[in-house]
Amino acid sequence: MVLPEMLDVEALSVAYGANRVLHGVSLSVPKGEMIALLGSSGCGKTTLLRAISGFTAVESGIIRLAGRDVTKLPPEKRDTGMVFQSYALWPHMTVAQNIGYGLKLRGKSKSDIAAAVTRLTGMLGLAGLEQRPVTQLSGGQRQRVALGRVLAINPSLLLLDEPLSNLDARIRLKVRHEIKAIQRELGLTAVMVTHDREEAMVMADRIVVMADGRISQIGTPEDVYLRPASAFVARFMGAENHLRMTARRGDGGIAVAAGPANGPAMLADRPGLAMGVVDAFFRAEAATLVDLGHETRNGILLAGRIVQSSYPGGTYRYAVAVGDDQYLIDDIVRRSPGDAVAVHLPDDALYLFPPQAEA
Amino acid sequence: MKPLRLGLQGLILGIAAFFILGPVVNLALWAVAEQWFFPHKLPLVYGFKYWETVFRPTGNAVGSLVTSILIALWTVVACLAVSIPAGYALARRSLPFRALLMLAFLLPQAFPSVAVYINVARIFYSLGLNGTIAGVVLVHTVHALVYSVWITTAAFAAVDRDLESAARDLGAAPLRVFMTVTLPLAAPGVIASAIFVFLESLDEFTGTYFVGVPDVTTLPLLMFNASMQGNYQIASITALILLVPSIAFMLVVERFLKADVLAKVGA
Repeated sequence: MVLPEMLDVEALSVAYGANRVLHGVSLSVPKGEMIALLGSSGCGKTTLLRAISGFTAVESGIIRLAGRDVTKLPPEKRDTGMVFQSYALWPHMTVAQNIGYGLKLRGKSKSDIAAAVTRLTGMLGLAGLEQRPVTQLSGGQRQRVALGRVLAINPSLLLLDEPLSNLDARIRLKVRHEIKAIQRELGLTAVMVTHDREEAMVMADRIVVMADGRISQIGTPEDVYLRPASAFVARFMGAENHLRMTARRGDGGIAVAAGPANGPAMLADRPGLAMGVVDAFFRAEAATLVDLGHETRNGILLAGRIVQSSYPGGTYRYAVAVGDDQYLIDDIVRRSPGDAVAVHLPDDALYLFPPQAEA
Repeated sequence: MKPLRLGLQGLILGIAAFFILGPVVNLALWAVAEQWFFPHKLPLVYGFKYWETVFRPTGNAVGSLVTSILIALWTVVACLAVSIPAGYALARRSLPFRALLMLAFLLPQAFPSVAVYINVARIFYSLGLNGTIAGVVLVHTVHALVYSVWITTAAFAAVDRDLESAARDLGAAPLRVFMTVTLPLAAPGVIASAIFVFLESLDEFTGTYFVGVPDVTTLPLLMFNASMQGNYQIASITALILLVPSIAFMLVVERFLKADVLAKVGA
């Protein structure tokens, strides 16, 4: 017998009135894994989380938690623990009362609750703050109380709704790793919602990229970053530069015809890709700038001119005009606006997809 | 320019003060006047003779005060019994005709009160409610319900839904969520509405007059009778007694009602 997944979502559809926001989403999360639902606002990631937690009614489909069908159960009967984006701490209670709430509901004795609160505040670095009203805590402390309140009931599934979005940028980087460490140490199964690509990459074992109420791709951070399954995922994962070109199969690879800006080139074959007009996407940091006249057998060269340069740290960032398009390219060599340069796009930096209607 | 403006401001302030403080000063003077008649601008003899009359055990002021407070307390209980569930439902559920329901509670105030109460009295008479405390409480409740429902609705609406969701997520059934999260957080607004209702009931005259007289005598009725008999001292002293809870509670309400709740009243 195959062990059931901790969370199993099958062909889930959710509609608000006539407006359907989830279109048959399927997803499985094994025990101990943390996944991130990643997408821009309105993609349905929060709706999926709320459907799993029971706050949003499901139109069709099944949600199983630890093998149990919970699709029709109210939130309090599902064994989930959610950290809200707003933290949703109860302002009329102290830290200890917030953390102990779930245990009190479960009829635990006062001494058991106190012991659990002490253990959790110790683990979360909140020791000594037990009797503080939560209104007197900093943002980072509130976030940890929200986490502790959920961890106290040891839920089958931890749900995190944009857990870091209300924190200062500097604290956020640290808290990411703290949450990840706690999740791994306790072996928690977790689903996180975020719109921050890096946050998802750092925290999740697998990333679920969503768009328009559908799943675009599920995979490890490396998968979705290095092997995007669609033009949307490529762009969302940072390959924002877009080049349209004409290509055909031949000589064991893909032959790119010379275009208005690019010279002819040979690329390794991408099996299954239809030839003709092809859209290529690449990241600023995957391309380099070389002098005009440079020759290479790896990838494509574009002739252009630098129109803007800036230094965000580490490398220079150039806006390079190529024909009518402008690309952002990172390079370690300092150059000046106005310089004529060639943009070198190595073969493995290019993600090729059939042309999109709007692209 | 500047002195003119200052003068104008002073004049407006003075007029306002006259209209607000004038009657109160007159009241205070009458309360301590033992002899005062036309054409004298001020009382001729000052003293506390009438205070003794009012508070004398045989006088009916103390009895009326007790009746008034009793009625006001029951009115608060009756109003809260309606407005806590109604306010929660109006704030949380997407009810059809929500705006209409909110307006419905305003109806008793919209019609000429004498016309309404004459008919209420007729109906109560056939039900045997005329001249009973219960009848007066009922009339006060209907009258005060609009404040009560509107303020509690605002108080519940001001409670962040995520706070309730968090409790449910941790395993609390809806009633438990209401008792441990929603109600405690809405409590300041609910208390404020209770105070409003209490004061409304304490001051209510018309309804009590038609439904309660002659068996139920509240302070406002006592005051009215005293004035009608030309007994301005008794009327003034009663009025001063009525002022005490009003001022005390206003100070409390001002502390309890936060801006975020006030902003949602009637919304």
